[in-house]
Amino acid sequence: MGLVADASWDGTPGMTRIDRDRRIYEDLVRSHGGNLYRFAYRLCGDADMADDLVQETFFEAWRSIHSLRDPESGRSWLFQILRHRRAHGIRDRSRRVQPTADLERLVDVADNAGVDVLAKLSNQELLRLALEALNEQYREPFLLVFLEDFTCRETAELLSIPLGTVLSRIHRARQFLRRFLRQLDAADEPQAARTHGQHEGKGSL
Amino acid sequence: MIDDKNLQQEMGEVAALPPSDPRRRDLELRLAEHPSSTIEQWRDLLLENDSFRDHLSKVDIPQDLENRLVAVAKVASPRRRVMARLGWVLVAAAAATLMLSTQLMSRYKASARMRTVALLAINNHLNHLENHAVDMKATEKKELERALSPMVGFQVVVPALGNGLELAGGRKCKLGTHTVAFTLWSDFAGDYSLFQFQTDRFGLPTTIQPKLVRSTQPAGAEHPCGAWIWTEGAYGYVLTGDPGIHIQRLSPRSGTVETK
Repeated sequence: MGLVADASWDGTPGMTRIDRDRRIYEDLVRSHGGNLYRFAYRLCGDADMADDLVQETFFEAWRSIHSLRDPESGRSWLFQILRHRRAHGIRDRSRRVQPTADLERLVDVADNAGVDVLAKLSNQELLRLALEALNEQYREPFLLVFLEDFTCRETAELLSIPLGTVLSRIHRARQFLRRFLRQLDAADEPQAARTHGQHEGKGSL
Repeated sequence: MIDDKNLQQEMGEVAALPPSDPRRRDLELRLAEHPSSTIEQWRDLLLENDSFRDHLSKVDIPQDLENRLVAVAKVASPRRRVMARLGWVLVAAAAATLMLSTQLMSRYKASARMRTVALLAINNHLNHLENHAVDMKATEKKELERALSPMVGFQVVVPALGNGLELAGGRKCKLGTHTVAFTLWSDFAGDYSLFQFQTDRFGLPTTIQPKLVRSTQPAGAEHPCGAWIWTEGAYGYVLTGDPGIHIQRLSPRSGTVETK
């Protein structure tokens, strides 16, 4: 009934508002679904959690599709929803135990100039562990810039923090990841590193 | 290693900016004057960026993810189907309430002002017209209008009151703080005062049908005074009479003014 009344809302014969919304939504899924999943996976470090988070994000996006004034800004809008859903989920669930790394101690331990950090990054398990050990306030801007190709300025807007803060957080994230990977190198294998991280206590990053 | 920690910090931060960013271009210009080891370190940072991008993107995306996400729109409804309409209903209700309140308030204010003007006229008739003296004695409306208009500063238009009332004369006087044209009328029962005022000076609407306002003056009188008040465009009139006169019997009609 209501749909008929809304018909030809934009002058397109035979297209109802819900048709238009559905088309926008499907475009969002096709354009950004994969990216959101990648981001969610890197953020959560767990495939199932990432899947749930992306589902929740798109469910919320569909429910409030009317609030998307400009489909061009759909990417930022989706990432905002994802961040809110994530924050909501963290509040709801008892916080996952995050691996820790005492940054200062790592700096001492990782005083190993010969480590090939870039080579370490190719090991996905190491990368996952390294990101997991990184505090979320550093992880988010780092992933938005290096995974999602948001500019630092866009990231600042998305996270509602100054550009300078984004730059310094990314820099610190970079330092941390380098040092963490060096430490892992010293531990020599992922399992050992995981055990190590769990027993050493969390860092402040 | 670079000794300058500030430069190292700056390089670490600026490396995340796009190549076109002025801050990055400025740093790269300055780096050209540094030792090759510093430039080398800058290149390593940029390589590291590429490596981060490359390795971070290596995530296996579930094959059925897109289909599952598209299906969401088939099983759930957007929130606005109900909320947006409810929102419009609320907005419309609020607007209607606001309009109604404004109208009621406007009517209430107009009514209160009319009453005030009428009471001022009754008070003048009873207490401030010095035995109803007039500056000009005239029985001809036209003559009186010509004489009074320059005195009060607006066009005096004497209405045809009928009902056996005879025009005796008029003068300029004040109703509250505003100048008005006073005309004195009489019949077998006593004297009547008619005040012509400028509608906008008293904040009254331009069209008010004649309305009778009753007062309690003079205090303790068996037949207190009343007054008729009405407006016709830019001008308004208030007609009152001596105590004991049944003012309501006059019942003036709007449109009694002969426009010039």
